Amino acid sequence: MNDRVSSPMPSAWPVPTQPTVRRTAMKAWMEGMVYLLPSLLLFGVFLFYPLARTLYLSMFSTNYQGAPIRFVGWAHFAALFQDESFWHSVKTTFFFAALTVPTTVAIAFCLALLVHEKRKGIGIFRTLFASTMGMSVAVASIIWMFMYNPAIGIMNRLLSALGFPAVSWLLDPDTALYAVAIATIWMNIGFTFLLLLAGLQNIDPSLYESARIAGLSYWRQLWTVSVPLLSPTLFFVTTVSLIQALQTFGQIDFLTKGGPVDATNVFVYAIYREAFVNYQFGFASAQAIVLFVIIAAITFLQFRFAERKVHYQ
Amino acid sequence: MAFLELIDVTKSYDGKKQVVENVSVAIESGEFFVLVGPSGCGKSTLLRLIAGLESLTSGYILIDGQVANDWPPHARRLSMVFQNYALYPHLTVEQNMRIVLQAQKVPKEEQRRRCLEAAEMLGLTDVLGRKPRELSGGQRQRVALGRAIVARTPLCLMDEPLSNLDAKLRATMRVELRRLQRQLGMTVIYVTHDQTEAMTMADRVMILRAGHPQQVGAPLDIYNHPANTFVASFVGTPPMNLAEAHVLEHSLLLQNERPVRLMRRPLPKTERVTIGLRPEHIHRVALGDGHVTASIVHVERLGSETLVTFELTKQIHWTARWSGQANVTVGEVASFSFDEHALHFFDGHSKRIGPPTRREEEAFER
Repeated sequence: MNDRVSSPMPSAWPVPTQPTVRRTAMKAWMEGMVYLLPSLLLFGVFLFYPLARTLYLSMFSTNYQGAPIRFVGWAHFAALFQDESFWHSVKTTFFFAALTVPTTVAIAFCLALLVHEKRKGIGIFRTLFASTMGMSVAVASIIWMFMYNPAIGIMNRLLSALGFPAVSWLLDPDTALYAVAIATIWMNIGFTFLLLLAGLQNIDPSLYESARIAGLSYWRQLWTVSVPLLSPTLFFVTTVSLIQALQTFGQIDFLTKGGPVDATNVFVYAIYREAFVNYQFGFASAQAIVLFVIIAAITFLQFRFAERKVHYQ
Repeated sequence: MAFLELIDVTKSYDGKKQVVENVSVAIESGEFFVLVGPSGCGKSTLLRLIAGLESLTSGYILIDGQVANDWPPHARRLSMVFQNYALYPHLTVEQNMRIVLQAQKVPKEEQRRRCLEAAEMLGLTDVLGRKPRELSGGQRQRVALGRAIVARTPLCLMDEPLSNLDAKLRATMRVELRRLQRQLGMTVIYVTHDQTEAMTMADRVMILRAGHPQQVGAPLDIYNHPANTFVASFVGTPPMNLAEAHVLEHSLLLQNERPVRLMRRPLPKTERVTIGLRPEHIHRVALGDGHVTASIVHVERLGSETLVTFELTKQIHWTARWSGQANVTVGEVASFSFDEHALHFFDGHSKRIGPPTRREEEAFER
């Protein structure tokens, strides 16, 4: 009985020949490509081509217009790794990321917890907390520039009101990076907050009810329910914030121009200066490639190791 | 003294509309008490009020004779099984069960022992290390039960715990749940919209409609003596047949068009009533005999019994339940007789009119 059931198809049925199979597969592939074409085109023009062009330029010396004039191979990269100011900007960038990313996520998480519950008028606070999202880097930078102004800024007024000596915020090499970091944290909180709040709202309320019936304290509920169930969102915002921090440019350009004494000369700003101030397009391209590799490597490591601790539902 | 007592419990979210209104009931220790009603009737809200997840608008909840209105959920010493089971997706089955005990600061050894015991009872021993998403619906349901069992609270609340299971599993779990409840001596308050669950599992049932309790009692009492037309039509499948009637001298005029002469019982004094008759009290008789002759519009053969729907009037169809595989066809005209003593009468407010008194019966027989 069983033999008959499992026996192959009767030979009278058309069995597809090898070329037919290949032709159908080819057709399916072509069809898929047609659907992908619009996004492939966009990515190609704005992403793949510039990346390839940057890689190409990084191996050339260029003239003031940025046209490649002499092939130098990996010489730019070799010079880069010898360059002290390159290492300085790497260090500055990572220090900046370490200052901003954990703080942004922590503060945004606290804010999200605060307004998670349904209360009267909570919508006002939710909107307020998310509002920095709607502000461009330029506007935010100008606001902070005024606040940091040593003479008329509110920061120094607050300090003097509290009896502390004045600080020259953006003008002092010891404080400039911190000052920019504070402004950056403020700018990024809105977006991070919104994502974390959405994540919290997505958690099944019966899990909290069950925890309340079991008698879990608020902190236990936070650690056993909220944090693990929010971990996909936390992982996402951390990854995105880290990439953003490594690419910081706008606020540096507006607030400090990389100074004073290179104290805030983060990676992307250094690339910008190399290319558009010093007109070393080839050398700048090499730096851009290095930055790309660093970010790609970090993101890969994050997915490889941190994602294991994430609980997707 | 009752184990749990509700006195005039009322809940309103907006101060205008009462979701639950004036519910009073006393639940005894070890009882399996079922709250049943159509969706939106306030049964889940009532359960959440008992759990302490919602606060009362007015009234009292007494646990062991003490007013517990303001007690937080965990102080009420109860466990709850949620409709969606509320299992922590990132914890294993064992951790899901132990979390309750950790909160109660039960020693580690004891935690482990109770978990194994509950797992044994529920057939979960092999899956203790798995996460909820790796379990079948029935297994998840049992883990949720397991949490209630390890907690060893005297009271367990269940909010439609079987509604996410398929019909077959639901039938098995009904029996199993009841067996466990008896074995552990738990008091259970069980919410469902399924009257079959209510009828088959409950020691006592409360039927709710739009926040108002309609009737409380043992399932068969409710089945045999429904307090009003809502209960009459809610309990039983197929539901009780109902029809409006004018009470005449010795007969009823149903829906203003079909006269039915009754021989064996006195009629109520009320002029306009609603009559009710369960499908099993309608029998087939030779054509021309019996109470009504009508054409058959639908036949459902279930194997052991046959449900025959006939046209009492154009608008009202009644259903009869005959045992066996009756030989009838749609479109056929047949005669039906009613068990007159099984007739229910409801007044203009759809309230049950009590059975005739002894004196009325005697007067009738004379």
